[in-house]
Amino acid sequence: MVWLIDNFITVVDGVAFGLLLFTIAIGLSLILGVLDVLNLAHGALYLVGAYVAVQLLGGRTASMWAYLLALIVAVVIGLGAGTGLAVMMRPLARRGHLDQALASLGVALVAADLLSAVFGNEVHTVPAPGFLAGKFTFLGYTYPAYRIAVILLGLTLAVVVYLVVERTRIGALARATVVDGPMVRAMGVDTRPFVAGLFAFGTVLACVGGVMGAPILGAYPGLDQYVLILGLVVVVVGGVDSVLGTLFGALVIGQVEVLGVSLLPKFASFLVFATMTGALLLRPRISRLQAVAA
Amino acid sequence: MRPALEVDALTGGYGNSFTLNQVSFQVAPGARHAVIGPNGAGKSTLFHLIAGTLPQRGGRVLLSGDDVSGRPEPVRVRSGLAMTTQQPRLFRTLTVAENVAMSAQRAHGTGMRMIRAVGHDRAVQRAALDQVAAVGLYDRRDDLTSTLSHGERRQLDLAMALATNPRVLLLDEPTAGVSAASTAQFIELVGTLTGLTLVIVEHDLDLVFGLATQVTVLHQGTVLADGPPRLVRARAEVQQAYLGDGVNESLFY
Amino acid sequence: MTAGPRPQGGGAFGARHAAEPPPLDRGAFGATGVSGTLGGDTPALEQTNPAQSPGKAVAPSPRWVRRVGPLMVAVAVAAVPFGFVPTITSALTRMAAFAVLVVSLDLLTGVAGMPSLGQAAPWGVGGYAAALVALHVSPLAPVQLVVAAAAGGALAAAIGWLAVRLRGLNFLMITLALAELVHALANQWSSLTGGSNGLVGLPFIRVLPAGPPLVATGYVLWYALAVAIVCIAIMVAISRSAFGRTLRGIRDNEDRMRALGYSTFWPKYVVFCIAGVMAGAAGSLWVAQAQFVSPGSLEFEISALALMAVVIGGRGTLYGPALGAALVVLVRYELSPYLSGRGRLLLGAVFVLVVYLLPRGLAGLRPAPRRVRS
Repeated sequence: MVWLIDNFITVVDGVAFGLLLFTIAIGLSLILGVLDVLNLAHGALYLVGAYVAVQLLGGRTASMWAYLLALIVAVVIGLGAGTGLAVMMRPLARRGHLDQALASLGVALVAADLLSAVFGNEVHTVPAPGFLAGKFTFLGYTYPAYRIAVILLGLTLAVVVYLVVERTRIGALARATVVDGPMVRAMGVDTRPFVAGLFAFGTVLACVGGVMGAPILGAYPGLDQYVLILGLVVVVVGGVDSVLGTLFGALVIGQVEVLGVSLLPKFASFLVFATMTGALLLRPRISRLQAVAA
Repeated sequence: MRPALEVDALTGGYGNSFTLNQVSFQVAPGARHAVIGPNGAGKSTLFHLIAGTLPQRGGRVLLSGDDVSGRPEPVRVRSGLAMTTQQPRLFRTLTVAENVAMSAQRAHGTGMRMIRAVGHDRAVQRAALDQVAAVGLYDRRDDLTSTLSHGERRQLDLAMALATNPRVLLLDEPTAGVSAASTAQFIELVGTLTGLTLVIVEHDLDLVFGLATQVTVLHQGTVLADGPPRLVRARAEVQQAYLGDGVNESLFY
Repeated sequence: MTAGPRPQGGGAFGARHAAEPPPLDRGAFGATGVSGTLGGDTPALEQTNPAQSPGKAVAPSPRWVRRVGPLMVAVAVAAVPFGFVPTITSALTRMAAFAVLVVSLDLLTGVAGMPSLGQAAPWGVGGYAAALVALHVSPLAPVQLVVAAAAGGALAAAIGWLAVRLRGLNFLMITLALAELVHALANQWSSLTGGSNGLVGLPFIRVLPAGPPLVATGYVLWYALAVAIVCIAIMVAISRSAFGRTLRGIRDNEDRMRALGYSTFWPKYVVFCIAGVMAGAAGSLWVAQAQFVSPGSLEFEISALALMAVVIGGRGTLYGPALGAALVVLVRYELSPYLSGRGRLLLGAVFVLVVYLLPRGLAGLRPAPRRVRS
């Protein structure tokens, strides 16, 4: 208990990071679980959002309006990117999932390099917007206000996604596709708008996540890979079956990563990937594949 | 003499259901043992449980007295059990002969050999071509499987199963969706498989009662009747299971 | 029940109509069952070009070309140091090293159907092993090579025991996770690996116990080329053997293989270990020319580049990916300075084009060779 109090701020940081990871991972998870596409461009989309934040918020202290604008721009870019990706994936659908994943990998490479070309190779930091740039005190502890904002924003997003997936007809369709894709298709669904819409939903979340995360993680070449890999870890640990599962996975991994870096820096990455490996061996249920014993 | 195949209180099914419940019967060596029953009786489930592709929830499966329950499918196949399915699973990028060679190669024990190019293994090639000819596909031996008709695919499936040198062969509705000429061919082929024990799931009752030495009737996951064809088809319960109550005319003449 | 003329194969010159592409199978990544192939119809051994119409006789490239061709390429490459600057020579060395890695990945992914984003792990471990041997034990390259190959193989043996029990996307993920684990390990275990700085100051390699250090890049190229040729030849031989056929069977229809009595675990485990051994050997070649190793060798990007090279070259063909490796190294590393550092952009664009336009990679451009009987 004492430990928790001593490290409370780090734990809160972990929650914030976890919710940020959720924003990224849920898009990956939906696209993978429903459409069977491993979107390796997801990290690059996050990075795009981060650079949008750099462009609109970077340098001096930024205003809340600039932040809101950044979020809106991220949504627009996300919609466009999602639709574009859905269109790209369609001709490859009959060739299998590796080809789709590879195409997204190529897109990621191109996008990441374009971003490097435009923004350079140095690390960009982004200030938190407006009043969120400060700290505030609560129960004798001071935390950066932005972390709290991320937690609140992340929770809101989680609730929204949960409601959409679990409580709407579109969501029901998505869930049904995860459970029994061929049946849903036999019902006449899987039309282009549904696919494009789902893709866009995921990519918007990635881009928005990039804006949200910019004041925490900054923007630099290679961040896309870092975010993608962590996102994949969360998808593996949390599974593709449910929003709550992804949320749980994201919070766990977020906590492991942040606490790990702070308390056991030598073992932080180790713990994250060990968790991923453990999840794969104990409960390998991504994309409806079961492990096969020897 | 020990039965070639025996199932003892075999229980299992898909998911949590028990499609098959306490099924027991024995198959004599060299028998042509038919398993019949109305749809949903559990015939395919039975085969999958015997082959090991479905986990058993109870009971035993014995091959020549050896309890193979719980052993994975490849082990059972190596113990002499082979199966053909209604939807043949073939290697689509390979020719007919190559498909059978894939099977023959394992039976010859050369599946893990890394030296010597595959074209040099004459024994495996010969064995494969022998089986291809035995099922009547010799002039299709170099054609890709995508060019085969459904009946031909089933013939290929059979050739692959035979190439494993089985002692017990499970045939899941071998004449379903196949022409009358091919059915006749199949009957002829069965006649040549004298060393083998056959267990056949069939809906074609004429075929069953013409061919079988023993018949087991399944109904709703349990054994309804088990014995020589003459006796089985006279039993009222069997006729009832197929036709329902209150029908006077005989199902089998 | 086939419509139209029945395509007949066989005979000396029959060009066979290739199998139609597998139907969409949504349930699995690298599906088994009806579609059976990972990412499209990967050619078994040498398959016909689908663009050829059935029954049309196509003169295959003469046998002597197929035998002598690679030899001529090797000789041409070996002659480069006589006419070109050292930077080109060392670039070719890098290509040779990377080619061995890529071919090992193709054996694993293209032939055996096990998609991996983790081959950087045995490559990097092999590189570190070679470097440690160079620093503390011996500057003899063959010693470094053997130790590196053994290290790569040992890593694969340890990882593979559990990893190959997974299929498709799950397997892809675990290879990624484990490679990242090894990457993290290299960064953290500074006492052994030098941490994020890596190991520097490796001596020039020697090939003979009493021989001189190979200072000239030309000699290093010849050494690397010789090793690369041997490694790739071994992998080609394996692919053409009965074991190779078993692997392709597992790739195309693992469930049916089990129904034929094959244990699918052992072939997959063995090929995983072989790929690890070869990747480790490749890593030692890279370190021999770089005289330096760092955690950068274990990055995800290396695994991704290797996979891209496999796809660009032509999955399952082995020789295609070897060329793909050269292309990837060329565009990503060697040409990058001339493209204002935009090597990755060009590579990504080329890669996307290949995925869409050349499903069989560069190897698919070859005119249809005679179908080799398995």
